[in-house]
Amino acid sequence: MRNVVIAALLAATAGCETVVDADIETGPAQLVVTSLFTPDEPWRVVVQRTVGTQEVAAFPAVVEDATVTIRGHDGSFVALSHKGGGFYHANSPSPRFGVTYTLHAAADGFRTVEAVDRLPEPVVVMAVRVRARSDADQATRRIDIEIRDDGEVRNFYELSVLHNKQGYEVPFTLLNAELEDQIRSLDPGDLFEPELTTPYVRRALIRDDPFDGKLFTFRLETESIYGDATIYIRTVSEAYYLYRRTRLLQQDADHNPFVEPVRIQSNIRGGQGVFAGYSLDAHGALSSRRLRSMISGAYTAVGFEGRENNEPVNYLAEGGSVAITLRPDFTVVGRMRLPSSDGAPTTIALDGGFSFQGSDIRLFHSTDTVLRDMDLRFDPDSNSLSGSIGDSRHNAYIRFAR
Amino acid sequence: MRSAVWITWSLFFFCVGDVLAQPLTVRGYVTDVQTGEALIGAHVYETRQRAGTITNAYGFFSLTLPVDTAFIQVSYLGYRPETLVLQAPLERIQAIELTPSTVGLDSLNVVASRLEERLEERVQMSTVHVSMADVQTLPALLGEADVLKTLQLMPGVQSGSEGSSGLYVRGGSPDQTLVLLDDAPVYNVSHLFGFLSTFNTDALNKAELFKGGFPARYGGRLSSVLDLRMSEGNRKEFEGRGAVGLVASSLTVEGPIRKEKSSFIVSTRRTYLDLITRPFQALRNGEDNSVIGYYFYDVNAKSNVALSEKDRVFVSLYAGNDRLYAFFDNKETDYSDKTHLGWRNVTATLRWNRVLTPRMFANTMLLFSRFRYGARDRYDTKLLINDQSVRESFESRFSSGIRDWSAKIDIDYLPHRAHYVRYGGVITHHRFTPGAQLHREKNSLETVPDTTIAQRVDKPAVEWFAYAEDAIDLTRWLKINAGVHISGFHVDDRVYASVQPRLATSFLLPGQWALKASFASMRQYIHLLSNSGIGLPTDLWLPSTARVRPQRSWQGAVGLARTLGPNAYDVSVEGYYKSMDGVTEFAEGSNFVGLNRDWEDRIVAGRGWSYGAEVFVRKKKGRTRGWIGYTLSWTKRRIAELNQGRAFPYRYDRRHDLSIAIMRKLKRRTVSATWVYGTGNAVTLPVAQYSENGEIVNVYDRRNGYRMAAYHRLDISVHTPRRDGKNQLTFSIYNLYNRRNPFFLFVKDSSSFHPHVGFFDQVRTVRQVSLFPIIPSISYRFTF
Repeated sequence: MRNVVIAALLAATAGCETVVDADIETGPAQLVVTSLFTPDEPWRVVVQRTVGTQEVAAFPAVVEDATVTIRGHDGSFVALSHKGGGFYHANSPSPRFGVTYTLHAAADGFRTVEAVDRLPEPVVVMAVRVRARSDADQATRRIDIEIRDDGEVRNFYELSVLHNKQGYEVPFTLLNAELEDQIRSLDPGDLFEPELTTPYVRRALIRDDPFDGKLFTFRLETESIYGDATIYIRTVSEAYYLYRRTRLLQQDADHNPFVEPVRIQSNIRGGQGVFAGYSLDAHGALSSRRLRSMISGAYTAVGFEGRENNEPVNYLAEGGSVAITLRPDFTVVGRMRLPSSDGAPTTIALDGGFSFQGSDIRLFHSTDTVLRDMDLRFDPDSNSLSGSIGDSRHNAYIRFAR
Repeated sequence: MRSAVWITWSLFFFCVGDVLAQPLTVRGYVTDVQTGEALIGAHVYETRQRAGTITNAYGFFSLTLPVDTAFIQVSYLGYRPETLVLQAPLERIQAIELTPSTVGLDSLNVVASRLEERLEERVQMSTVHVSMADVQTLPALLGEADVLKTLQLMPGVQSGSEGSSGLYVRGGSPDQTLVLLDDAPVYNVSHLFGFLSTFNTDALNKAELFKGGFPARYGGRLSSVLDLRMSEGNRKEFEGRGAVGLVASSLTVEGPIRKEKSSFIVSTRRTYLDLITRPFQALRNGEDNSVIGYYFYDVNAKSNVALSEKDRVFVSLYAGNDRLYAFFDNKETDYSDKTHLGWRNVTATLRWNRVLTPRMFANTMLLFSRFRYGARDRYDTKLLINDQSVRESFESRFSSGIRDWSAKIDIDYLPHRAHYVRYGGVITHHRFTPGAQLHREKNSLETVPDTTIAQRVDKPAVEWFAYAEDAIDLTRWLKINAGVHISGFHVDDRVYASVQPRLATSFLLPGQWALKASFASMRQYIHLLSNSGIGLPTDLWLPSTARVRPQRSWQGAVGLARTLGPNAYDVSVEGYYKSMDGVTEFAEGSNFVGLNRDWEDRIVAGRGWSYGAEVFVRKKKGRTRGWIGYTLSWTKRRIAELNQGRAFPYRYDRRHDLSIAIMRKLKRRTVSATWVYGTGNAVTLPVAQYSENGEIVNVYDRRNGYRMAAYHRLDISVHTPRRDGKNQLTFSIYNLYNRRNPFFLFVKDSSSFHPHVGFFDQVRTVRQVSLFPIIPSISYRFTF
């Protein structure tokens, strides 16, 4: 029924869509700072600026000349250096528990921004039990995560499940009825097909209101997994929770014209983005550190093909080459050499940084390249990276091998 | 203390009034001579004493005069006036029948605007009347005459988004309008996803909207009261009428059950788009049999019987049902899927009118109202598991609603020609059903028990109010209507109560202009959570709770009014200020999905206020009639959790709102036109963007900080009589100059791609979605 109604609505309005002149007051551009920090990992901050809704500008508009510092209330201080593509980095000193950190970012032409947060203490995980569902699909996993919630503070959690062999984040649903309201989506179609359980998600954000200060068991049911999985339990700060929660809500709301838009809750004073800490507890073979070490390494493109104006192109056969090195400290060095029609090949620096979510990798570098816009996926089986982007007329596919 | 004063005041008139009785009390009913229908608001006037009154909602009046012989003139616009000479002693209840000035379907001349009392004579302000004749004469969307759409053409009343039936009155939301159909509240007024209202004009007799200065007899909502009265049925002879339109057809039959003593009326309406399209869908289908359809129907029925000269009993019923459905059936795969979505209203009124004394009229009622929304999805399939055929089915249901039972009594007491006292009370038992879900799976190998995810939890509540008011003519120049409304609401272990003073005054200035002022305090104990964008039937009525407190408001208004010429023009100018507290909005990112649970977490409450000025000029008589209404207003909300706690414009804050309605009687036809203009709705658009992990993040600044383009539209219709005026062909055009009015806006991102550098700079455009282009329609009305 959802499809019926939405299709009817779209059919009724599709012919009546027009572009209108709108004079939207944008105001001055703001710095956008994104940094999620956790113990034993380098400081990483991505800096860009907001682009006005009707502004014609490069997107994302990275800021490469910012001064970024982080000061701890214990006297610690770190100045981050720019690695490329708005990716700022410092290896030490890494974040520590019990320290309140203040981030400052300044750049010419922008208001200086500031944000404060600290690492939340990791939750006490009493037990993690993984079993196959006995009555139906044997590949479906039931996962019970028993925790002891700290009643002294308000806690926030983020749960995810990683496939050990392939590294991707496995979709799952939460079976706890008391958490249903926290996970429910805003899909307007639910109006016609009321959700009976929480929807499948790759990450579940949870606040501890229903079980504050108690022993509690998260009950997860995954989609089919062929192989083993690692369960990630992140204890996240309130700033992390609010930012991620409102991001998810905005993603839903922005596709629904009948829902009031969602303002992202940012803790960046004078700007946008998030500066937030989290603690990670991984149960299984694929810890974050292990995954990072698996991903790290030198890669060379062994396949780089695409279509331009519907014509196939093999960039490597035409003399192109791509090589990148992903370092364990999240920095990247690399070069891309592309053939051009006038015979003089173009060489582009790929120096900068990377982030990953599961085995999905994103690169940051200064020049707008096809690599910067695509998600690369790491395949632990073959130790390779691959990604694709585009549509049927214009597209590109790349595969790296170590 | 105030209530004690009022009770004493009321008792004074009840007891002492009769002791000081004047020689002659004239009382009676005023009805239409052809149909026996009560004439509401007819003017009864003693010409020598220059004293008068008007008939109440049942056509009853009582007028006490210090004379032996009374020269009574009874008049009603569109009817020939009658003059009676009555002498004391006068025991009988008068039955006064007025004759329409013309006959036939050409309604423009029949009843015109059923207003007789001159504006400067009325103490009540901020009130709008529309006649059903006007409703049927003015152009309508898809040719379906709609009383709510006509009310939206009045100053101070807005339509919300395009096509919506909801009434946004003086900065209030639709749930703040109390809609009464024969005194029973109607909780959902929408057919066809809000594009038509539930009210069939063939079954209605009167519509009166109070925007402010509320008399004490009304309460329970903050912003307005729409009092609709159904026709009673022809007491003299059988007659029928109907209409055939593009979307729906209607049929009304009425007549006497026992001539002059009792009558009935039954009116029904149904859409038939689903029936027309079904054969075409069948032709299109191959092996799959899929059907999609939508229909609504409504039925109004009313009957009344005069038990004696003093006693009359009425029964009225309304039932409306909307249904959207989709069936899919594939014989080859043995798979079928059936989905329904629907909502229905039912109201019932059992009323007993009794003339208790020559000066006292009692109206005792038992009322029922129910609104229910439901969705259901079921599929059946056959699987082959281990070479064994297994039938499997899945069913999910959702329902929500509200049901009321009420007992009510109203007493009209006219102790003196200068007093019209009303008092009474009501007690209502609400049963809220926020939502129940059922999930059921079955297969032939094993039976899975019902898994009701959200058990149906009925939340009962009791609401009551008592009131007393007196319309007093202090002098010929100064009139007041003072009253008090006391209400209470009992839910769970909580009790909310309030005392709401009401006052309206009218002072006659030189030049026959009346200077009017009013004050009203209101309280609303129930809340509506609904999708505000379009009229999806997702209304969820919920009670006040410990966390979500009742809504409160007060409104003050001042204005000038006068009827010019021999009842030809009504002119009024009003200014108002309304303050509201406890108004609710969805929290950011929340919507109607899954509201049945934890709904208190999803809404936020705060303050609201609205102020503005309204100008209304109506021409009531002649070959050309109509009105111009203009509103200048500001409406804001301040809610701590929204817009960083700063005040923001209400979505339907409309600086300028102009409506022009014209009806012109030509030699052989009647033409009508409406033109509306309104400042664009306030919406929230992203002011900037940034990227995170390749996804766009929108930055929003001020809530409702952007204005959509202004809304304006011209509609026309031409009514051509047939068969000596008994039938009528109507041709209408909605949105004559095909204005693309904004329904909603959104920002669309588009980008070009190059294999070398990935996505080019993204280009964002603001796009507007419009709903209704030019829409012609035709309908045929007939009588028999």
